[in-house]
Amino acid sequence: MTHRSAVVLAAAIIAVPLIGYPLVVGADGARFPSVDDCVKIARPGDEGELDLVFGRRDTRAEADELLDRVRGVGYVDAVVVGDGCMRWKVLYDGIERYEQGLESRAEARGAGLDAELELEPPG
Amino acid sequence: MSVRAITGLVVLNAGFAALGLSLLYALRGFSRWQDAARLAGLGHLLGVAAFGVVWTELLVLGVPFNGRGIVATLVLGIAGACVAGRLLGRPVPRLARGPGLTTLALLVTAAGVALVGLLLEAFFRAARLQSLQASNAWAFWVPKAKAVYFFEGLDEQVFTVSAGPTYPPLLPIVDAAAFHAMGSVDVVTLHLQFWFLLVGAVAALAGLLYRHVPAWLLWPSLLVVLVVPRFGERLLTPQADVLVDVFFVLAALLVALWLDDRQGWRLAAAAVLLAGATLTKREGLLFAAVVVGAALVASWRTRRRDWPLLGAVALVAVAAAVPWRLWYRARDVSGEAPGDLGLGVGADRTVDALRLSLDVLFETSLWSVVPFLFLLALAAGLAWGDRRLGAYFAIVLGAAFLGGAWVTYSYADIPITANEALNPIVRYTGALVLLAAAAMPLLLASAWRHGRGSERP
Repeated sequence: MTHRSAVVLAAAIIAVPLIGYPLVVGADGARFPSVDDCVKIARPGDEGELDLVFGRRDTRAEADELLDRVRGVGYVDAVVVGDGCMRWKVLYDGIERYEQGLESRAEARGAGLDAELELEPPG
Repeated sequence: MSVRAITGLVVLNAGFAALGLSLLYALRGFSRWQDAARLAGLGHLLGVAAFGVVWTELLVLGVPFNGRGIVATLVLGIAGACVAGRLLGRPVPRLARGPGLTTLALLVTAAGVALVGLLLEAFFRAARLQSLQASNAWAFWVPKAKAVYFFEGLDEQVFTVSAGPTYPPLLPIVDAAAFHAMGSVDVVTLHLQFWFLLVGAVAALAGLLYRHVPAWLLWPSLLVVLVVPRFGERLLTPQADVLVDVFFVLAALLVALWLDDRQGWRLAAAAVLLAGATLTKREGLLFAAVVVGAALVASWRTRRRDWPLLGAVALVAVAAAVPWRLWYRARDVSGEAPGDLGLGVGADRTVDALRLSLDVLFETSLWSVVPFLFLLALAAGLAWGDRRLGAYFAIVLGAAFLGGAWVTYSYADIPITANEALNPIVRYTGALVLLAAAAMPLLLASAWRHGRGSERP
């Protein structure tokens, strides 16, 4: 074997598995979680606690501004909590049934708020 | 968890590597770019140690830790080291062909790189989406890092009230730098920072040993240590154990190579790594003492020339460690070492502690066959190879082993058990096993060379 062919073979020994392995593993798509993973929109029939979420903000100060607006509309028990994805969300957690949540969401949207009915995260 | 966070970590660790390589350039110069590439892993760990040591001292002085400060430290450090290198007359590296490998060595190296690379890729997959589960990590290492990130310094409440208030802050500083690089306190992607440290450590070991041992001894040793059950489980845990182990092992290896060729840059780099070790975990001080003490013994015949140099290494390590100790003592925190250094402990507990250390060291479910292979390599090295090298590693590992037993017997409230929640001996022993694996190829190569009467590969 010449030195040149040995170099080519060595390069192949390194490159084939090191490139092939991630390609094979990633063939069905490598998953990159995003902040959207912390948003679980409630569906009819979903079991579990429900929240009426008025929005998410990157900083606590921005979330507090939104909270003032939400309380001004009438949701005086709304609070700011971390959403688990490095953001702050403004929510009202007094929703007991899905249908009630839909009504509250409609009222909030009617008042100009970007509300959504979400499943409360576990814990 | 996002591509942006991963990219941030890539940039941060490239910065660490550039800082370390610049320091190496100032210390030794690079005649060829290939030499810089070979030592890039060592440069990475050297950069992490230097960055952590500098920022520990800065935080003790009250300098705020933020993104601008991180960038400034790296840029100034790199520029300063490069200028120092030029002033010291180091040549600008060039692309030039070096001594070639034999065909067999080339193919063995390629196979080794491929296998180790595959393993590291698998570790990457495991680290990328790992949640924060290790108890010490979520209990105090990561909270301290969050404190450095959010409060831009050594928040007195967090650092004096959390568990382990005497534990040094180098790791929380590196973690906080990672948070800045990722753009958020992303404790999932934080595991990837430990993956980068692992890659750096593997590259550093390979780069340091590459010219001193044949490929067929080097790569199997690296593979063996990477597949040790305990390391497979814990290498990516966001705690300080692996980092202090790596600093210790690389420093011990550099000193071993210095004993052979007396290249001063090796001692200087070892000093920075040992300084990093003293600020990573409390046993870092013990490890530094062990390395310097073993080198003092191994250089007995040339003590007039060598001991002042080793004294300087010890001085650097101790000087780096002092400010942090002053910081917590000024806040009435104590407990780094047992009050009477364990002198008042009975003989029974001493024997039990030694037996526990021995049991843990030779526990195959933790370390596989690495300790046994090391003993064989040590015997071969002492019988047929460089006896001073063998004696040095025997002293380092023997003293570090006794140090582990001392930790158990001197703290009367630590039970004699291998249960990690109650006794740190298993975590501690990782350093010994890692060093044993790194020393193994060097000892075997020494015996092989002397047996054949040949020069280095």
